[in-house]
Parts: sequence; structure tokens; C-alpha cells
Amino acid sequence: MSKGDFSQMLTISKYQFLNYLRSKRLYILLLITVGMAFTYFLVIWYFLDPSKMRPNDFLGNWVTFVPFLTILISLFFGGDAIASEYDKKTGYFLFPNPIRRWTILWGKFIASFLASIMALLLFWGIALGDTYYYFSEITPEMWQSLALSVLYLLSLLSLTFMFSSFFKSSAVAITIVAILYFFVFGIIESIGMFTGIEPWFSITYSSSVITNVLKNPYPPRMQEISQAGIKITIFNPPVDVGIAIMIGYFIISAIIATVVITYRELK
Amino acid sequence: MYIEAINLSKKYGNFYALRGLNLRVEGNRCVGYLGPNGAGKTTTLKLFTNLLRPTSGDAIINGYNVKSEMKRALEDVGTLIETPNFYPYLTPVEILSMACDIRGVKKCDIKNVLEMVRLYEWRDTKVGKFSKGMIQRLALASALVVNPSILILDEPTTGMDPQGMMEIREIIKNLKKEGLLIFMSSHLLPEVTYICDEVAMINHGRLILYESIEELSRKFSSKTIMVEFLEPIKDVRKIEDIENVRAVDMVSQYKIRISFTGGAERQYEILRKLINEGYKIVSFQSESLALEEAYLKLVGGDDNV
Repeated sequence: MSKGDFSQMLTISKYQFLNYLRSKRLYILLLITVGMAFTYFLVIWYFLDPSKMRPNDFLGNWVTFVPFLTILISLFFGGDAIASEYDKKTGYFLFPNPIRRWTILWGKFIASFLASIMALLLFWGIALGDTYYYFSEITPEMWQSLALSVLYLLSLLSLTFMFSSFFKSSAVAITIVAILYFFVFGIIESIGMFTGIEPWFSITYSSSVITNVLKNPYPPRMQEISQAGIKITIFNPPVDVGIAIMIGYFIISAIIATVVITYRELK
Repeated sequence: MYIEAINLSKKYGNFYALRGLNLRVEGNRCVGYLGPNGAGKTTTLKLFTNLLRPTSGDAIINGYNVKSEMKRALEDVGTLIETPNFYPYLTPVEILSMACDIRGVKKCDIKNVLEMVRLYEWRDTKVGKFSKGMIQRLALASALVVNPSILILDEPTTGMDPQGMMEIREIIKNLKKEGLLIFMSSHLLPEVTYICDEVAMINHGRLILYESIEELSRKFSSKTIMVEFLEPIKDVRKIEDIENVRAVDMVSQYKIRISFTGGAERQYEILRKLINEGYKIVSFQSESLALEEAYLKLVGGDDNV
């Protein structure tokens, strides 16, 4: 008698996570995270005077790195997550089993999320530890920022899984997703600044809530700046809009990835 | 237990990889699936294992349609399609545990299966370090560890050294004795003759033959036999005079090739008469395999097996 879908999904998660735990990529990512944290630590130590800052502003300096780190993490653990099943032929072991494809997708997603959260929490641990060292307090906004960064990771990972399910080559999947996150969404946001159109459809736009939530007062949704005859509009999504964008990306990407993997053939 | 293809077709654009296949394989037996490259062998196996979706028709396993009732159809099936790969940082024990966990079967056979495929001493080594032959052995182990009653194998000895090939053939032969239904594609005709009871031949996406090896041997057995003697042959005319002998070629002083008319009974008569005439025969065998004859006759003209 075949096992239930949920139980099979957890089986996939368990072994995929075990594979990640022993993989070089996890250690490389943790090393990058620690390296970046150390660099921030030095910069903050040399250039900032915590005694003249509020705790939220101090942590805000750390958190500016979180959106970039989250993108990096999602590339490491999502870029080839599904493409490799086709490219590296691991699908020939998994897919002919009495197991629905979506359970494989979600099993792998959970494993990727668990591995990703390790790196993200490591950075947050260092950042919060440093803040606590100077201010002896962790404010509710800090927890809010942490929660938003976890939600951002979830939505980015989901989008990355969707792209990974489109491609047969792991390298192509990772490259395209990297170009998209580091350039395309950035360009879209720049266009928005010059045209005055709010880039609510960009996932990276939503990430500014992670840092904005630490600011007091919260920045206005729209700020127009004129300089040398050029008018620039700076957009800041309110927290609820940021959350809505992230959840929207998560749900839509997850649905598309599930449909693609269900019907995609292993030729 | 059975697997059945009902008008099974797979089309890519305008090209039919498989065209209206009708085939039912049933009971405890081993069926070899033969055909030239691109004939549709792997396509058929992939349709039976849910890796491809049929354009039309049905792939049925034990009464369940693979497309619409996949979990039930595949629950009693062990598969080895192409040369699969495994998560590189897991060990063989973990890979087989994963296969058992996915199906909810007990893990008590892992040790036996690893011993059977000669990977037990590598049980705790990460799979990423394995050679292609070892990966193939592990793939077979993953198909066996779940105790299936049906095995679908795609060229199971690919990538193995001669000794490894022999070991895998013995394993498959023994599995047949344990009551499994084995459906395996191969491009090695002697392998199919050695392991299988029946053979299905496919070409250009169509089934062209499905018969027992025994029946095939009767129909297509070679009409040429090679005879080796203990002493040199001085005069072949006496042999040429034997009834049903068409021609005799001297291969060497000790070896002749006899062409004859008729079937196995006449072949037997020729052998009996040679012995009665006092020839000291060392060996007496058909020059080529019946399966090879059949293959060349039915698929002839297409290059690769």
C-alpha cells in the first residue's frame, strides 16, 4: 500500500535536507554570510557611534544587507532545485515511484527553505547579537523586520523554484534567475522612479519593508525629488502592500511551479 | 500481475516515437524488449513509469492506468530507466532507505540487496564518488529493495564491465525464479537469449514480433552448423553425402561448416550420422543465435540494435 502524499513529501524533505547539510554549497553560503557579517561588523565598529543612535537605526544598518543575502540564498538553494532533477537525472530515480510530482516539489521546497533559513538566521543572529550588545534590548520592530525577511525568503524561493521548473539545465536556470534578481527587477524599479509608476509588481520592491519597518517615522509611500531639472519619484511600499506583494509572488509562483512539474515529461 | 499497452502512442511534433502499441505481458516471466536505436523501446518504458504521458492509448499495470491512477499502478513496480543519478551526498544505505520510505515498505532487505549487487562494502560511502557501473548497481538495488512483483528495466547492464554484466544477468535470472514479471529492454541479443523467456521486437514505433524464445528458435534457428573434430578431416565428400546436407566448407583441418535443409530434427539426424560414421566430434553448434537471425530478418536494414 502506497504511503500518503504528505508523508511522502516529508520523506523527500528529510533526504534532500540531509543532502544539503552535507553539501559544499551550504558551507560556502554560511562562509559568505559570516564573511559579510564580519565586514559589516568592522564597518559599523569603525564608522558608527552606537551611543548616538537608536537601537532600530543601528540594526537598520545591518538589515540593509538582508535583501541581497536573501537573493543569494534563494539562488543557492532554489536555482537548480527542480532543473537538476532533469539535468542531473536524479528524476529517473524519484519520478518512476508511486509518488505525485507535487509532493516531490514541495518536499524539495521545504528542504531548501530549512537550509536557507539556517544562513538567514545566522546573519540575523549576529546582527541582533551585536545590537543587543550595545543596547541591551530587542525591539518589536526588529522581530517584525526578521519576520518580513523570512516571508521575503519564502516568496523569493517560490519564484526561484518556478523558474527552476521551467529549465532543463541547472546552469541556465541559475543564470537566468540571477540576471532577473540582480538586474531586471532593479531596472524595473529605476524605470518606476523616472516615470512615477509604482513598481508594485516587482518582488524586490517589496523587500524595502524589511528595512523601512525599523525607521521612525515610516517613510512616505511616494516622495518626489527634483534635481537638475529631473524629477525622481521614490516609492516605499507600506508594510501591508509589501506583505501582499510577497504573498502574491509566493502563491502564484507555487501554483505555476506545481502545474509545470506535474505535466513536464522526463524525455 | 501484468502490464499492458493498449493502442499506446507517443508523438513528438510529426514524429511518432511509438505508434499504436498493443502488447500484454503477464505472469512470472522475463520478456526482452528489442529494437534498433530510436525504435521506441525507452519511450515505451517511460510511458509505463510515468516519465512520459501518452499522446493516445493507455499504459496499464495490474489493471490500473499509469496516467490516471499512477500511485496504484506503480505501487508494485520496481524500475530502472536509463542510468539514474542520486543525491551525491547520500550513501547507498540512505538512498535505499529513501526508496523504502517513499513506498512505506520495511527496510529489512537493504543489507541483502546491497550484498546482492556487491555494494555492501560501499554502503556508507557518498554516492557522488561512485563510478557509472556502481551507480547502475545502486539503481538496480533501488528497484529491488522495495520488493516489487514487476520489474521494468531499461538496458540494465549498461556501463558495466563484463564481470558486472554477468553478475547482473544472474541476479535477474534468479529474480525470475522468485516469481517476478520482468520486462527489460536490451540491445544485447545474447543477453536477452540468456535471461528472457519471451521477446518483443519493435521497430519504427510498432510491435513487429512477440514470441517465446523457444518458438523463435524453432522458426529462425540457423541452417548452418559448425562442427569441430578431434582428428583432422581428410575427405569431406562422405559428409556431403549425408541426407539433407547442402554443402560443406572446410574451415580448418579440424573444423567444418555444414549447411543443411530442414529444422532441428534434421540437424539431430546429421549429428547422429556423423557419430555413426565414426567421426570423433569435439563440438557441434549452430553458428548464430536464432534471435540474431530473427532480428536481422525482421529489422534488417536498420543499422543499430
